[in-house]
Amino acid sequence: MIRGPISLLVVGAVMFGGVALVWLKPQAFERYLPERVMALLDGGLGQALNSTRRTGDNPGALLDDGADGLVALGPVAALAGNRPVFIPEVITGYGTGVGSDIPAEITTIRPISGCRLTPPLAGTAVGHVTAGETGLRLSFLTYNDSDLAAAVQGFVDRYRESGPTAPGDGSELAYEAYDVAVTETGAPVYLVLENARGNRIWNIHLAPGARVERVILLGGAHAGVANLDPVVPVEVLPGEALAACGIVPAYPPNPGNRVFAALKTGSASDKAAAEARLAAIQDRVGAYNTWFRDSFGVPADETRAGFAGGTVSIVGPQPGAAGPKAVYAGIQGARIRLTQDSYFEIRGQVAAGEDFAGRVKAIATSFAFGDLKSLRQEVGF
Amino acid sequence: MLRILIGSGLLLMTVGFGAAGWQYWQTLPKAAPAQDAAAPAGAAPVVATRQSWLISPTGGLVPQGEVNAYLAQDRFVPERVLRVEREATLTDLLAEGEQLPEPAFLQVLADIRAPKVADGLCQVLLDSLAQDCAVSAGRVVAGSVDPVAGTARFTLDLVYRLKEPGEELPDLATHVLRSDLVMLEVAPGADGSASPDAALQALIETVAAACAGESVGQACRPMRMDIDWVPGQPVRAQAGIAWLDPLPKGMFTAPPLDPAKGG
Repeated sequence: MIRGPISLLVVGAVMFGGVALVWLKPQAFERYLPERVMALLDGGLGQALNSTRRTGDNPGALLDDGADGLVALGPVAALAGNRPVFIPEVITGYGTGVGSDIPAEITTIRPISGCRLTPPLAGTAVGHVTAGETGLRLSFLTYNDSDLAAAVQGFVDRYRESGPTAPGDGSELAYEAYDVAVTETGAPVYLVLENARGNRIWNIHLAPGARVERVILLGGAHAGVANLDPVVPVEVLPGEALAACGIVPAYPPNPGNRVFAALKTGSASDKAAAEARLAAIQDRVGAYNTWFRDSFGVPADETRAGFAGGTVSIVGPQPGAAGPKAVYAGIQGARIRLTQDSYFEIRGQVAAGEDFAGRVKAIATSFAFGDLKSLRQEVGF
Repeated sequence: MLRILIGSGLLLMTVGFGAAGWQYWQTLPKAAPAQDAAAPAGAAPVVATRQSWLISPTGGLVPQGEVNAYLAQDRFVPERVLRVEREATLTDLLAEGEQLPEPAFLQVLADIRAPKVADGLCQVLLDSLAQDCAVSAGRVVAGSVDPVAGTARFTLDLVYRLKEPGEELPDLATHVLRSDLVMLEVAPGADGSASPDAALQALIETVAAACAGESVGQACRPMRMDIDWVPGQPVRAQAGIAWLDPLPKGMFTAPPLDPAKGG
């Protein structure tokens, strides 16, 4: 007798779920769905839903030669020299559903003092990885008083503009993951991992038999490394310290870069400006190559593995059909060593009101003498 | 089954009509509670506005904002504003027993508490020419916080309603609105330089003197006033004043067919 309405409810719920999946994208559900389902959605449905992604047999076809650099539009990883390769061909069990993963152990490390890094030992292979933005935000973040003050100001501005509102959750301060698959098994690997900006966790995935001698973390704000043997030394030189040492990472622009576009199709003044800019870039590339070779024994531009937009880089050769692929190691339950700011929090693991949003609201309330409504400064005209 | 169907139907209707009703209610024009709040209950308008337009001495329509600033004394209007840019010490922002926060928070503290440094200004207006006054905006000037000196610059906007003039406005249709700018500069150490309140008092006196001038006609009123005050530096202030003069000979008025600029 009530089979009809129940069927209607089931059909409605399925349709609602489908619409929500299409509208919000699968990443919105990673907190609620099992990892296996998320991997399925990421690998299949997720890509199908993302209209900008392309598919094909040639990984190069999934690489966009854009005005701001090379961007992976599909499951493509970067080999040394920025040669593209399909991710499943180099790493097994790969997934991007890391947003709610909770590490098992966090150890705080500090940046080195000075500018000199420990050079690689003779006979080691140097792997050089660069990372742009990946969108793989993790569940933990770090911040300082300046971040809080900026968030309070943003909250106050929004409150004045549109009335009661929720403070930001500081998601832009979350560490972002980048995956490094090590397939080099012939020699210990000295990893130079270079971040463009923000807080970065480098997640290391080793092929059977691969060994890491030392890890150098360059650039960005705060950095850390996950799934690395605790005995492997890690040295950190953040972006500010690099700048203080006079080191400016620079690479030759990709063919589709806006500077070449200006040289091809720009007006005479645009071309002159582009030529000047290109010359400046080449100077910087030369200077960075010199420093890199002096520090690590290899040039930066030729060894670089990492697109401006991408999530995985490979250190070592592309595994053959029988070669050992790297094995994916998740952030869930991982050991992480990282640098951190005055405050560090793991979402869902802090007491109510002591998370980023809670602190922002508490500060704003305190500054407003306990009455947020006074922020409005309303006068009726 | 039938009951379930009817029940479901009623539920859907409730939700549907409820949503439609809510949308309708949301789109209704809002009443003006802010105006009610701005004007004290029972307070009679200073002057009954007989017409909502004024003409300039050249025969053109006076922009509506200026007309409102001059005529609409029953409510605050944005164009009748006292804008003060002043320096203040950050400790002035604190409550008793409170201490300044870490330097990173000084800018946002100053921004949130900026209205506090306007405390005395409204009182000066109320004691002289206003029957009502409110801080409509108070902000710290971006990048002006000096953690070493413990100071910051603030911009404050205060809106006010003039006291009842005691005399009726003349027939607006037979008058034109004239305006002028009154300037004031006070040297450091002179009367009116000690504080923003003193500078405002000096400006109000200057306005009163200007309004009493021979060339000024009837119902002279202050409009927008600006004060720039930094300790130890000359005070710079100015005020717009407006008054009514009889229509020049040969000029006749007719109600406007088009709205005034800004109206």
